[in-house]
Amino acid sequence: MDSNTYSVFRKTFHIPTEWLKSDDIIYLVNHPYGTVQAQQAFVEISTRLKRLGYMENNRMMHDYLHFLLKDLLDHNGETYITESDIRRSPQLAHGLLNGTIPDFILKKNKGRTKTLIVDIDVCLSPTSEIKSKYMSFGFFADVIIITPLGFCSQLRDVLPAEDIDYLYKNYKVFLIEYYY
Amino acid sequence: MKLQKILFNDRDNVAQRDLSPKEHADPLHKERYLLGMEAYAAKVCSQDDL
Repeated sequence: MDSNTYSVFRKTFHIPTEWLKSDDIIYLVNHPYGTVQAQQAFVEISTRLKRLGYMENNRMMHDYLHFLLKDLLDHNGETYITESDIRRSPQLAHGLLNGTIPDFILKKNKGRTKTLIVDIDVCLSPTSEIKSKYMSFGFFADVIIITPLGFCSQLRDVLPAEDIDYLYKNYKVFLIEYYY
Repeated sequence: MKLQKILFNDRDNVAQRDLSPKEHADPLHKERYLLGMEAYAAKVCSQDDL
């Protein structure tokens, strides 16, 4: 592939606020991915991906969805706690949630009469299997599972339609870049 | 393959939006919610002990 056709594949997508704090992510996003000195570029890219913990797993896909969803929740004024808050709280992690760590717990609001647990799963396991982990929490919360192929309908009662569309479109472009 | 088809059907750039956080009436809303959830967890766990 020459450099003229190459540029066709370089797309811009929304970089979540949390990622903007990382020099490694900024490097990866801005990298021209040219064919010149490709081997050296590959070493640089792999080093940074390893440092971020994003090599040889789907963690980067998970984190993109997690951090962009976090930005959208903030944009909509939602009150929530994240998985890192939960990990820091033994009472929540080991007490209430019995060792299960979801991505978000959202506070109930005018349109939502129950607390909402949101878990992102990019391993493409059956949704029913993931949901079974959360069955015992039904006494205090509803649960939604976000997967790469089916998050639009799941988020219908959480975000406005235009925000779900924005998340979907950016995630698609991110995946093109990711797989490239 | 299904995922690949979905991805390559739409290769256009996405117009970027400003996602600045909505001003909240209570600036400590997240901290308060976390504390509230911890208190709830403590209550539920103490009931289990009974």
